[in-house]
Amino acid sequence: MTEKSSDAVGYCRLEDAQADIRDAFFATDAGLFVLDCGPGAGKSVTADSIAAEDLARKRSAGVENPEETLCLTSFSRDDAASILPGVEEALGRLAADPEAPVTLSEESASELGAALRGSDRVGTVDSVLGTVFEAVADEVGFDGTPTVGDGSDLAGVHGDAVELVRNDDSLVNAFDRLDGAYPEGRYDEDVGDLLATARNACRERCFDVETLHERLLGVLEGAYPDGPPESLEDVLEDVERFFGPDERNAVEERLAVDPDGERDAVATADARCHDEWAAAIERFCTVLSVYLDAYDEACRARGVVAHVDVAHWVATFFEAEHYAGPFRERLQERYTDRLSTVVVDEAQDVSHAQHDALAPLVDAETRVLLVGDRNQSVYAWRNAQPALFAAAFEDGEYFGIEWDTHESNRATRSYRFRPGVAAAIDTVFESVFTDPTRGGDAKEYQPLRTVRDGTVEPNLHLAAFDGRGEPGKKRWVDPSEGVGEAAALADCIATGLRDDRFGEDPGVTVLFQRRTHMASYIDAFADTGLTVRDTSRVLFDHPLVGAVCAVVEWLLDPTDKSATLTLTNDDDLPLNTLIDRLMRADWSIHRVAESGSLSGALGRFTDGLATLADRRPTHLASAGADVVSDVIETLSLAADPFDQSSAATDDTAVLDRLVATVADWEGEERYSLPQLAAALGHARRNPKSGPSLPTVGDGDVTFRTIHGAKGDEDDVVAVADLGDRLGRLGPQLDRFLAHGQHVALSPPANLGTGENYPELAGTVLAGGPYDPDAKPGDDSSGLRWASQRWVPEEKRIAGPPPLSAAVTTSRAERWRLLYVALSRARDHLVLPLPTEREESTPRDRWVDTLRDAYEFHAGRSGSYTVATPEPHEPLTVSVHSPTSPVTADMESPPGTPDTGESSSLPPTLTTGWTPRFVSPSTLYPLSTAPAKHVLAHLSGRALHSDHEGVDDSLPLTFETMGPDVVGDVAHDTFAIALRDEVDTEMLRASGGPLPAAIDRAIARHASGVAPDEREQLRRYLESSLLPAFAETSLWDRLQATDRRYVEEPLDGVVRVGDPGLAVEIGGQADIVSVDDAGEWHVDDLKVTLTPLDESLRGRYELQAAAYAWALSRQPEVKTVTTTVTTVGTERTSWTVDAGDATFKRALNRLYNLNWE
Amino acid sequence: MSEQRGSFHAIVDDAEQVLDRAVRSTEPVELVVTPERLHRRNLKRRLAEQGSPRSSYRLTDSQRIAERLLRTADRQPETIDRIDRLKHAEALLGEETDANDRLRAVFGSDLRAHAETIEAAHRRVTSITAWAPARIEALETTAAGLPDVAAADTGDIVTGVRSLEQELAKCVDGTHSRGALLSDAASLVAEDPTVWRESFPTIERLSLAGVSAVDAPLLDLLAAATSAGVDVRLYLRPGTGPAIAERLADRVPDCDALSGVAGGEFSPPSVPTSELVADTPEAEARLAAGVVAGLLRKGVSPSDVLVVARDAESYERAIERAAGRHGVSLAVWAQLPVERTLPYRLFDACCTLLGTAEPSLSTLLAPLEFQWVPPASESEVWPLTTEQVAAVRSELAENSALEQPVSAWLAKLDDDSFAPLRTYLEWVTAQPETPEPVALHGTFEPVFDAYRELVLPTVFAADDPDLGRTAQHARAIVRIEELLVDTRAKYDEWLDAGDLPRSWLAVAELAERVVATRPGRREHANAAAVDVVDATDAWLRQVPHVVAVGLVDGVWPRRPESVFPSAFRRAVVKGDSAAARRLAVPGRWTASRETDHLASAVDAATEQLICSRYRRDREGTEQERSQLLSTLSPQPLPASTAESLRAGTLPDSLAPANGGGSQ
Repeated sequence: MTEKSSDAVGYCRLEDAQADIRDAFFATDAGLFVLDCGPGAGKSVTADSIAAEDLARKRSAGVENPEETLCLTSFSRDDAASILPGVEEALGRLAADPEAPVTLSEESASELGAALRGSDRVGTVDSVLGTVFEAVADEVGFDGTPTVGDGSDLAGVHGDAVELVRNDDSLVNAFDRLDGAYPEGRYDEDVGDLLATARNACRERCFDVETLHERLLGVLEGAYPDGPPESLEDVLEDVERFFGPDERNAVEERLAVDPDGERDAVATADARCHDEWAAAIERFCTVLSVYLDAYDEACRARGVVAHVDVAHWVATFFEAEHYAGPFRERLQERYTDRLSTVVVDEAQDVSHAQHDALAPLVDAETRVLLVGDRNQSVYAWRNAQPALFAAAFEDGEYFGIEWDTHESNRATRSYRFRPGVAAAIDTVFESVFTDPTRGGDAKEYQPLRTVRDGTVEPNLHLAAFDGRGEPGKKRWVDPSEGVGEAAALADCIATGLRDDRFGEDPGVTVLFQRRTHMASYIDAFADTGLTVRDTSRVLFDHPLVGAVCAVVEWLLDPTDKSATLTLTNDDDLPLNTLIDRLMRADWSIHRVAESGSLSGALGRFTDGLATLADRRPTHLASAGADVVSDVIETLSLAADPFDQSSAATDDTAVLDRLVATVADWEGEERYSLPQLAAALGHARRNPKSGPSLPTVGDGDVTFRTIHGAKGDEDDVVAVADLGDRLGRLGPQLDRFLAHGQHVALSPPANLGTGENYPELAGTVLAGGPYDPDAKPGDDSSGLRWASQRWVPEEKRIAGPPPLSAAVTTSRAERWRLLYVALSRARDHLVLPLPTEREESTPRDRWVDTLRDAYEFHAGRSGSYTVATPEPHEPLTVSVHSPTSPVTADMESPPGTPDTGESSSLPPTLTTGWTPRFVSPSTLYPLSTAPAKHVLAHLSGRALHSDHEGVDDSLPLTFETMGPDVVGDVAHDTFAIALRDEVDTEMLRASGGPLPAAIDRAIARHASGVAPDEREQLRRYLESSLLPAFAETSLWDRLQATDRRYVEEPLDGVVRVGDPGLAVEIGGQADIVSVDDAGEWHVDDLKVTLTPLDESLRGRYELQAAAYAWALSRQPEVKTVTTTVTTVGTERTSWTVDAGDATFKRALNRLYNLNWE
Repeated sequence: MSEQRGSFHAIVDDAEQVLDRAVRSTEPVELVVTPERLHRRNLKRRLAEQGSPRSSYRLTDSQRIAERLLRTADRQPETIDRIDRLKHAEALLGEETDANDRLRAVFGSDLRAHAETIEAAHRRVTSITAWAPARIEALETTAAGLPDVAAADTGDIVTGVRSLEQELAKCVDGTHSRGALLSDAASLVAEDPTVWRESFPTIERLSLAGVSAVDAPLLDLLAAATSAGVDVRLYLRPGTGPAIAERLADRVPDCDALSGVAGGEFSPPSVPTSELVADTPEAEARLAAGVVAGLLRKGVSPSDVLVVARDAESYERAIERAAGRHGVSLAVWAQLPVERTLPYRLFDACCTLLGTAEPSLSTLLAPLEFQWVPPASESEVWPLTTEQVAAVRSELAENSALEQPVSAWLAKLDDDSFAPLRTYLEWVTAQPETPEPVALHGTFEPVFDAYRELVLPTVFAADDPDLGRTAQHARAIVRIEELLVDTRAKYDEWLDAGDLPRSWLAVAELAERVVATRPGRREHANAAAVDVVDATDAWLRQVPHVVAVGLVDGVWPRRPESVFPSAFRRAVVKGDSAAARRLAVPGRWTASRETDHLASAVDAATEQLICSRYRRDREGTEQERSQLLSTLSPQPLPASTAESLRAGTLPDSLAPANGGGSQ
């Protein structure tokens, strides 16, 4: 169920702010219209309705192809995917409602919807820009349209660029110094990674290197507002300034108790930090400048770009002077002249790059509608710039235009929530969004207003649990004893569903901010008997997928010892037990397999590996997806041979998804084996950026990430894993910080503290002015870098202002994420909260803020009420406390989707081989010795019999001429003789049209034959074959009838075996005729070059029998006489007795061959 | 001699008439023209199934008719292929002309980079107008009525490709396109109808069947045929047919013989039709495979089941994998990807090696990796195994960083070296360094003869009983033999024209173009395999059980596509003006073509039609149900059906009426 659902029938009449913005929109031809829309307030409904009405009005006004005048975009794929159905639904409502403001027939509505589906101006911002990029790619130096977003190729591009920069003589020193300043660490990016991060940050923000340089220096200056310190006092002043007087006191106290430390060393280290930081920024920007050029060149060489590059190049193409020209002008006109309406949904998430790339497509004559919600801006970490939306709302500036007509409205009436849910959200966020410590910047909170009626039953459900250990850790979620967060939530939902507390057949979604503990939750829900549809798990984390990746890597060199050793040590393949055997077998998988010493799954797997190694030539030639498929099938991975996969996944579906994913990666191109291995390796190392696991069916409960659920809703929404501390993985750990408007490069990591640096443990200066060793969970990285610590007296985040601002911004986004999560619920909100908390930190943890807001504590049970902001009624809170062990009460094992694939399949069918097409002329050899002839049959080559050869007495040599040529030339000539009414004398004398016919036949069949042999052939025909033909009874019989058909096609489809496979028989009988008595004849005329033996007679007879069978099936034919006549070495003629039975027996011998 | 004009009839959705008219005849009296080879195959098969004689028919295509007509008049019938046309087009588009400036405003500054697109536009205008002045004028009139930018784009494209057409005609010795060939033949017959009689003395009727579009050059040829007394019948398909028929009078104003439009529009299936819904494309393939396997388990013959898709190739991997798990073999009638076959890769690797003066170790050994075998060898050592190739690599590994002449590699070998390696290197050094055209066969024919003799049997020995790999391998060898002929001929021509250097690398590059431009048809040789075909290729077939997959919006129907502005495309398709109605509608421009394809699938089913679709793409985005499904009114099958199919069991609702057995 999505935000777009509505119970209304007919034209959707917008209300309040929605109606105001709609009225303003249609009151003018151009302008900027901005709707800041609370959750459930109908952002998309408004956008879709206005878009539909816009189309309908244009259609009504006679505008040709109105869909071309409309651009409809949204940030995310899911939102974009719902645009078309939303607009189509709105069109349908318009057509169905006679009182709608514009008349639209159902047919027109349908046509408009269909036309919109074909529009490349509807979709994600990236997809719309992708279409523009296709037109400009060549102009900006690409050879055709590059692939967009291929992670593996982009990693290669980056590698190429870094390599090039590293080898640039002019940068060697700078690069070496940067390497020293930013060494790779467990949690730390190396210089190459930093360049990639900086590139992305610049592109997303439309910064050139110069701008970035200014920004980085700005941070440095903000971190040293008075310049480099000259004394300890200077440092202490900054400690107090950034971290408060208590921290200064703490430093001073530590200094006082360390008699060995030199106080001046602090200032010395700090001054050095300043200078080296400044130098690092200079070097970094110098290198970055060259790297960016190298990156673009590498993109061109490899034919791949990132999405942000697409936006960059589109914007650059329209801005840079040297791209000016008729094509650019025309391209721009194609958009500006046609586009009169642009609608951007989720506009708060649009990045600078996307905004600037879309801007040239819009001019001041356009109507632009932006809908968004700043409170739901949760993508600043992915470079969303809600400030753009804010500027549009406040100042009427967007797409580089200061709009003369500018209308902004705020919609707060929600069509989604029950009042109780809205009250539950407001109870939390009235304080959060007005609290600067939690990133709130609102002076006044606007409570949610609801349209829907309230319910007697509570809408907020708290699942109480013990709360052991640190919030967010394993013990908190899933303790070995007692009830943890996961079990409590699962039990609350299971009980609620069982008791119909959540209404009839409700949809239930559980939202997570991270995936860390999802497996524990799946188990907990399974324990209660609920199945989970988990849309958040990623493909390349699956062990069977890992196994495929490992095997493909091995196939690069399957005979290499180190490759085999790597395979056996792979985490996703339990092959350790092979190592001893491999050592004894000189690391040859083949020898181990051939030894037969292994049995069971390991034995079969080893055999499979040996088979795959043998297929290396095929793998080198095949597409990557086919290699992956072969690995899966040969190793029977779908059967999970080593029992690695969780029972809750459908392994067949997982492996199918893998094959399809590789096929998608390849597109029209083909990966080489090394490319395939590299791509799989990249995906395996970066699983989260890859595809998700396929889900099977609909579970009782759906698991999603909060980001993934943005824009959606469900009847019951639970938010799990609420305990994690905000900022645990925050910017203090970054070396290159890029969040929203903030960018910064950390001080170098190799400065140390110098000699005699005082012992300042427990203070912000403990590790020096910048502590590069900070780990996840550490609050601070020193005085001069970002920190998650608080200045208690001032209720602000500590640290230098440019950096504390960045941290504050990122923390604020975490609170908005909670807002998004809570506001997905339509009817019921379920939250797991601990009964006890020893040290509540509501600024740092969702769980504590929620506890405070809902006044929850150990004494709560049953239901209670809490006060809520106006205009809400007091909120009834239902508390669910599991009192007995949580167990399943359902019969089927929970969490096990119905996959059925391997366990319950009926017996596998078997497919042998039966020829699909058979020529009567080859039926005999094929049916008598199929194994001998099948390869020639499949290759479309002649099926030669053992007896074939030529009689030595023939006046022919066969140096350059094959025996077949004689028969082919003779047949063509005989056919002419029959068709052209040649009389017997003429035939004997080879007169009339025959010489010319022989010439044509020789030219046709004997073009490669030497002239003397051609001449032999001609003489043989004239002197022997044609006169012999004239002497046959066949010739006499044919002379006596007018009803003769030369080279008559005779086809049939015959069913063989059981259940009857259709075999097509097809060929041309030499002659079909009807004699005076009405008798039908099939005649086969053969030129023999050897004496007839039994098998040759058999071959001729079977061929003739096949023709007779085909002819006898024709409507007017009753009985058929079949005759074979030979000339050449043997002159004879006989009536063939072989009938249908012989023919079908021969075919049945070919039925379902299995070649054993 | 004055000929009485033949009649001209259009018949919609009644191609069965063609089946009824076939008789025995000493000479063919009717040309039956179908655009697709598979359509001719289907027609022949239907005639064979019903036991009809067919010697009154000559099954052919329009190009062969035109060639014969021109040959009769001693005119050059040879048409350059697309590779040559692109070569000429690229040269012409590189010139600084006003017409090219017009194209640059539309396509960008480097026209040669857009040569394929522009060539496609050229073909499109050819098909719409056959370059007849009146039709060009009609086209320009239609374009002028469009919104400004669309009008400008269309005008520029037409001007540009018109100039290209004129320049191509000048620079090509012979005919430069199928359109030109048909137009030449049409003009010839229009001017002198006796040419037709001389070319086809016994032909009384011409039937065009199975088409979703009748382009202008073809229509001109058909009209000309009527002037020679031939009766022309258009057997149109139910989606596009009515519009084509309706516009004929406007398109052939000079053809007074036009008469009789019969038939109707697409009609819903007369057999039970059901709809299966899966979550993802792969899950849908598993469901479809489950249906097929279930039918087979019920005793239905594989020959009585047909799977159709809008684009069978896109389903090939998923459905073959899914069917394979049931033990069902499929015959997917898509193009054979020759460039992904071992024989082609061997050919390419050999050319690369022979063209590299100082090859690296990997280049040196690549042919062995692709199972090179020496000509006329009977040694059992060939082809080398993976381990043997690895051993060879290892023997030379100390020099792995080297790039040196093959002779130098050869000189490294001593008496203890692996003997086959010497055989191989000696073969390499024996080949000409700068190949003449004849060298293509001189070098490769013996290699592939040996390959057929030595490698193909090893594939056969290791194959499954259905011989899927063997058949594909055998077909690939046939294609390589054709490729050698085609590449040799083109290499010869291009050398003469000075268009490429005399080198093995040039040969490889040329072969790559040839293999891409003339993709190989796949042939399926196993009657026990269940056919999977493009829906359009189901035309005229009759099969009891048809499974139609991929009925998802955007997949089937596909979106119409064009290099022309969509406004122009729609104006032509709608035909609201007299000018527009004079123009041919390219099949790709109309959504009705999708209905044609569906109709072929629907008409093929004689017992039941099972349609399937998926709800989400691989990235989880919702996919809409195809609107075509609503025309079928299928019975939705419950989720439990999908579950039992996944388990390999056919639900009763899909069980064959007669309990199985062949039809």
